[in-house]
Amino acid sequence: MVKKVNDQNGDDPEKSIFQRVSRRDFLLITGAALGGLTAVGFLKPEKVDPKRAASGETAGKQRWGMLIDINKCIGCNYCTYACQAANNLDDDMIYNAVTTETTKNGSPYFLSRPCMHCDEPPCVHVCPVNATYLRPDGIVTMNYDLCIGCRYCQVACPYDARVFNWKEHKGKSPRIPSFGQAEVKSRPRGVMEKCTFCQHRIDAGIERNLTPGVDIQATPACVVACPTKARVFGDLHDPESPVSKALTQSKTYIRLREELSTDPKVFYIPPKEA
Amino acid sequence: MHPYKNYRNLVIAVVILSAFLIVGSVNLLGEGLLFSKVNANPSYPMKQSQDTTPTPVPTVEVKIDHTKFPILQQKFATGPDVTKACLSCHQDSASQIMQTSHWTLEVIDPNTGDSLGKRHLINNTTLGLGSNEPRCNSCHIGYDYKDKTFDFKVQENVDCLACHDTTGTYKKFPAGAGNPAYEPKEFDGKIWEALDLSAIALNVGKTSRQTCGNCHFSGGSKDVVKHADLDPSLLNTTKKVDAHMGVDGLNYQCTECHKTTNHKISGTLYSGDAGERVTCDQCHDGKPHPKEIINNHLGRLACETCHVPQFSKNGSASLVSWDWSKAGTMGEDGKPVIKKDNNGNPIYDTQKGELTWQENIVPSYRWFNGKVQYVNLMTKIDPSKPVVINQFQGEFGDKDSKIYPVKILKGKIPFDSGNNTLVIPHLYPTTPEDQDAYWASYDWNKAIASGMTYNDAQFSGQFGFIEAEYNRVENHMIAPSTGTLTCKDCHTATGGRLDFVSLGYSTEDAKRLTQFPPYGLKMASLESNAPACISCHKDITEAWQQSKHSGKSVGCAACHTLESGKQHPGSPMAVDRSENVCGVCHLDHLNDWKASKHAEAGITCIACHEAHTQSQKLVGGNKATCESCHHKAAADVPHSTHFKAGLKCTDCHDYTNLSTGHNFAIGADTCLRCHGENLHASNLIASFSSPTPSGSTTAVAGADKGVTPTPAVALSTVEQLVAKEGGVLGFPIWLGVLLGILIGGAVVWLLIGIDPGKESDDKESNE
Repeated sequence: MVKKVNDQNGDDPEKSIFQRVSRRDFLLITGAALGGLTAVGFLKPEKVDPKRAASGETAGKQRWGMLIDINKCIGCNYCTYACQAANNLDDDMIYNAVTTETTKNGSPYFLSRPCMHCDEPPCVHVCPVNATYLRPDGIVTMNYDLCIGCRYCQVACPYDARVFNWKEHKGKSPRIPSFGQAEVKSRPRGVMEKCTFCQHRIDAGIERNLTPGVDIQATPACVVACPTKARVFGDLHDPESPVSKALTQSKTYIRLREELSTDPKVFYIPPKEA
Repeated sequence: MHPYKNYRNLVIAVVILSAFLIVGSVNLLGEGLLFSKVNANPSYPMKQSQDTTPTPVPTVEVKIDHTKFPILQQKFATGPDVTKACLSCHQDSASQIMQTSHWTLEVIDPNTGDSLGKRHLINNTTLGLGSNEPRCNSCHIGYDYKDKTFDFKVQENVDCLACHDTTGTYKKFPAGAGNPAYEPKEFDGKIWEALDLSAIALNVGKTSRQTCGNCHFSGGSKDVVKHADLDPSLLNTTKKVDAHMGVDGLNYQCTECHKTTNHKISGTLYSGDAGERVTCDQCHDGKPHPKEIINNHLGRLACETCHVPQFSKNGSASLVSWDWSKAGTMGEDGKPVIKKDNNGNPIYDTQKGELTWQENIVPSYRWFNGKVQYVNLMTKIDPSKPVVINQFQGEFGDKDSKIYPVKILKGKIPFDSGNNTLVIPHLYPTTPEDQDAYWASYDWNKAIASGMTYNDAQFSGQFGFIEAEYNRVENHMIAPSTGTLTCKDCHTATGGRLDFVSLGYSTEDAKRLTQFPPYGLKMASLESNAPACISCHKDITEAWQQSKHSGKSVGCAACHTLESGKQHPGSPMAVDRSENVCGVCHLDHLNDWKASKHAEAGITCIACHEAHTQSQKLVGGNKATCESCHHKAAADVPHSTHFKAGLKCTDCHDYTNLSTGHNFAIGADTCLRCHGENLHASNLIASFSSPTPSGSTTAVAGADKGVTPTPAVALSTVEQLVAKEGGVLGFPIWLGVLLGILIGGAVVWLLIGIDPGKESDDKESNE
């Protein structure tokens, strides 16, 4: 664009640079430059600073986050299955979806997608009854007793992380016992459900002086189940936690839909070919 | 002439020849070119055929016929005469013998400088040598060693025949101070005839089990008294009893292991000189077992610990206790008596006291590093507790120590209760008038005083009897791999062979080692039994109950451990999710897995196996857990005939006799295990072959591992088909020739059938 402007107006070398550039061109150049800078500011993935993210709104002692290495993911769906087993979910309810996507070059990769546990969660903002809320440690969770099943949150979530419980689920998930045991009690029919970063494991683990992300009993089921260790979990405040270390070590990481300013706490290492 | 007519005969000849060639070459190719023969004995390493037996180095046997030597063709009156004749050729032999403990009965400990050996030591069988030489030295390889004045430098007193007799008739007189009976003599009511020394001297040769056994079978005055692992049954034993000496097996002579150079025979375990020992690793390398987990024991266990599962297993009871304090009680007639048990073993002997014999003795187990602390005549002992005459050195944690199976001979022996030392009494009357000897007067006081004076030792005049123990490592009668101890002989909760705590293991270690399988991780307070866990973890326990683990009493604590000093449920029963926790027992699987791509990617056991049921993690309609990750293969395979026939991934990728299948590679035998019988052969030909094995099944049924014929059978069947006379088509030669003539004839007929006459007529007419 800029080059084109020069081509049109650079035919008279006698004129000074100010004379050669018309006001219209000046405005175009300036606008394009500003726009470009803004775009870079928003799009450049390296700009995401975990410390900045870590110093976000939540003021708890810990701040749980996850890093998913897309390059390690082999699409086995074990995270989905382990999640279904731990939360005692039927086949048709998936908190943690794994989809096949393609890079710009057309090579496929697997995108596994739990709840992003945003620091600015749209779902929380829209909930009319405060059934869903942001815990001090950054986990976006549900109070199923308050939920009226209006599904506003499902519409608001840009990551499609919420599923509605259409039917009362009795009995065991088909993923039990291959992928784990039911760890939380069943939800009533007609509530919105979502990934909780296995808060029951984290809470019980901290009571027993365990470190979530390190001790498997206190780490989300999907992280433990991953056969290739593509998922890393831990406290973003703690520089020694597995997730902080992994974020420091990795050259690149992104968050999904950064432009929406939801400030997610799930980070991704993007596919290499992209 | 028409050119066609010119070449007609040639064409016919070529066609017939080609027909022969075609049929012939088909037959020839069948012999090997078309199909390279399948080797019925594949050279890939079969686990079963792993041969760890060392092959003896072939030596050139030079047979020297001693009967031809004039110097031996004479009448020998005494043993020394024979020795002189021997030494006339073997000049160095006597001086070599004189360096060895066989001659000196003395070993100088290179570490301490102590004088050891039979000349100095005390034992709790026949107590000691000094003053009893005429009787004891019937096992000395010299002549006339009747007292301590014996001159160890006289060469002709070396008894060559004791070791080099091949006739089996050479026997030393039991109380002859090393001399054989030169004239008929009586001992214990038995007449010992004079030996034909001339005949024996003509038939000298190599040592044998018989010559070694003459002394070593009967140490301590009788067979199987000292050693329970050396008895005359070894002369003609089976490999089941002794893996090395079994006449139906390796049939080794003693010197096969007890390597001998210049008459120096290696072998003593108790000498401080480790270089003199005979060890298994002379032949067996450091990792002799195919299973690594067994090799891992070798740092702590001597080979004998497992390979000598019991003593006196050969039907001959061994002495376990000798109580000298009971000696001296005469029979009703006032004369010495001998009472025997049903097997003919003396249980009471006026001369010796009370003897206890036992068969199939379970060994005791002791740490031993090759060093022994002996109690000699000078050593002060504590009379309040049993004296261990030869205390084995070594303990838990000492890197030179290993656990050995030990025969402990107990008993009571006389001791000097004034000086608190052991004594060597004068037992055997050297002359008929010798009334100091115990076996003449049955007076301990006189016997001890006489013996101690003879041995230049102090005697206070007071004596008593003290319990004494003598330890012997029993390392003969090595059981073959089929007769050894097994894991559960030690790793069991009750009745295990090893008392880990008294061997020095911590109680925690002992606890984990007395389970099967012993788990490699420390545990604290929780038992491994599932009932304790089921009260809270019902679902998990139920899953476990479906597993093979539950059937084999591999409980929760086999994998789950609690950090030391912590309490559950306050602290979790953590589990190592790495491959190592399974690999503790499933070592072969672990090793195969390590060679796989899965290992490279860090995909461990629990990625495919559910931890509690150990079943595959199946999802949806998947047949194998492989399909979860190998999407592309899973998408392709439904089109294959194999898949349509009902097979799943693991039916090929985990189906080989060459490994556990856990490297997921297709083995060389995988295809043949199902297709071996009819590979490369039509059904028609198969009917010509010998009857197929009864395991003959279709490919689908063959997928069931239970009914498939072994690859060896399948391979040999293929070879039978291929190697059948006449080649791949199975035609006999004559049939080939006939077929060739027929084909040739048909072609000729076709060619002749085209009437060339007309054409030639035309040509002629044109001319």
